[in-house]
Amino acid sequence: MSATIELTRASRWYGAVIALNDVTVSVPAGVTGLLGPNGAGKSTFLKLAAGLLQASQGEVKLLGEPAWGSPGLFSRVGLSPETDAFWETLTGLQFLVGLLRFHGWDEAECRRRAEAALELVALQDARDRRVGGYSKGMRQRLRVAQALAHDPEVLLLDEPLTGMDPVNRRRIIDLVRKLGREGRTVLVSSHILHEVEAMTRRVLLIHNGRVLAEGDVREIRELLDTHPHTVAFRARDPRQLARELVGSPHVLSLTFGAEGEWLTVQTARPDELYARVPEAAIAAGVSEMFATDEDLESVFRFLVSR
Amino acid sequence: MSAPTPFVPGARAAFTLGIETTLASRRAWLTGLLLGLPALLAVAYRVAAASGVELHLTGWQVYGDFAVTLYWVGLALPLVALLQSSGYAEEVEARTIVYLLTRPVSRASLLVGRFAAYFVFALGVTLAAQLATFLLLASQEGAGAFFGRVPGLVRDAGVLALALLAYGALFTLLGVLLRRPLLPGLGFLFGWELLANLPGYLPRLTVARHLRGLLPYAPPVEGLFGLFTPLPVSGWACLLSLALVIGGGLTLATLVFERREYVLPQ
Repeated sequence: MSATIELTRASRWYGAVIALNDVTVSVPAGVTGLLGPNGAGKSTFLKLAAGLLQASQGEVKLLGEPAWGSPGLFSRVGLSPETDAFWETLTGLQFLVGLLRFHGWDEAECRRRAEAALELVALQDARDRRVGGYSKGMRQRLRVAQALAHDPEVLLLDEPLTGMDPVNRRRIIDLVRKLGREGRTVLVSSHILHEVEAMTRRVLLIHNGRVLAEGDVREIRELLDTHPHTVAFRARDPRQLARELVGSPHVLSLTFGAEGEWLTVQTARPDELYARVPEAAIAAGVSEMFATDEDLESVFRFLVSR
Repeated sequence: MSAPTPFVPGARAAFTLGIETTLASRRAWLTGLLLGLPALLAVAYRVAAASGVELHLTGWQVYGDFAVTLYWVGLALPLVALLQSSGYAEEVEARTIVYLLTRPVSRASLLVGRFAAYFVFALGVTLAAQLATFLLLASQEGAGAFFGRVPGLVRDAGVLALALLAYGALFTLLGVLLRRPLLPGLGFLFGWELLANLPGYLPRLTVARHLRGLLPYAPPVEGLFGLFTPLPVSGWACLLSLALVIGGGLTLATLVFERREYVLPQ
């Protein structure tokens, strides 16, 4: 596969803050997930790729052209920004038609494309409502719609699922997968692993401005699975639960909470732990259970420290 | 290389979007109110005159000295230009600029289209207010005097348009240079532009002096400024200076905007 986005020793800093540090990476056609915790440099990566920012050092190319200073590229590229900003007094349709006019199409063509894009993100019924009255999820979908209304070859989506309800989340995930199957390059950022997994198998892991790993999401999942996961249980009898779990080879440690009804379990194989829990949980009267370190930040800290 | 949309369609798209967002904004109403104030004053003047109230100024003096020279050229148009034409700083602040900068058009066409939207909107409102004020005040002394003053209406409209262009070009430049241009802009209007009232050559460094040089009206000046008489400037010199301000301001603004990188707050 040939690369459509290429960063060569690219760095970007804002004053003394390094947002992206000496990154060399190629993104081919298809869907690629850009995975990293908040503040990892995902948005800066996407803005550099879109030519919205200039690399402080190194080179960024998009479809073989320098990304910075090539406005013509935007006829082939769509960016859905993370920032929740609109001209609030325009309707959804006016917003899209207004942006499509910049492509030089006539009014009828702009309107046709705008309506098609609104339908893709299920906003056709709200097209004549002012954007200021849209819910957070609708605004997110409108941002995606403006990125794909001109049928671009490359789509850069910055946290596109934020604020969406499950139905529309599914809709956008399916849309991204479809766009990837059509041969477009879709680079989608997220800080939630299972969101990215739902869209693609190819991921770039980014942390503290550096690309830590790239490749198949399953390999990264295996890498992440060696990181100890912490699961907390609230139970009527946490000592009974501890007795049930202590013999398991995958349990690394058990800690009782101060209030006497919590048990925190550290495990290297969370899947195995979850498989054992149901029987033990009934006996111990478990009422709550949650994984305390699903936050990607802690997983990345673990990866960096290896 | 991927070619951008040609300049004219790109500028037209920026113009249309600029007009749509302006018309739908509260600022449009504020602009209308600010520019239409002399028309309301003219109505009040005619009502007072019809009621037999003794008035010390003629309708023509109120139109020329107050409405055109002091109010529109001296205050309202520079303020409207500051509010409307520094829009790019506002787009950055509101973070909507990302949508404009990711369109396949040159930044020059974005800037020119947006400037044209400001100018057309502001001039439309100004001319409507000017015509209403003129009709109400210039007709007070009968039909003969009224028709004799019609050429003055056209000249004044030209000067008002020049004021919008000159201040608009300067504040467009300020808007692409600074993130928050409002305070420096107000400082320019109520600091630097007051030099227009000083004696000697200093007033020639102001936009206000060259605009006033194209108008025949002589509003009474009170207080300390009344002691000074700025040196006269010919009409052609005024036109040339204003053309330089407009051309220079827009060219510099385009050059800055073409090269500027906008880092949006997260």
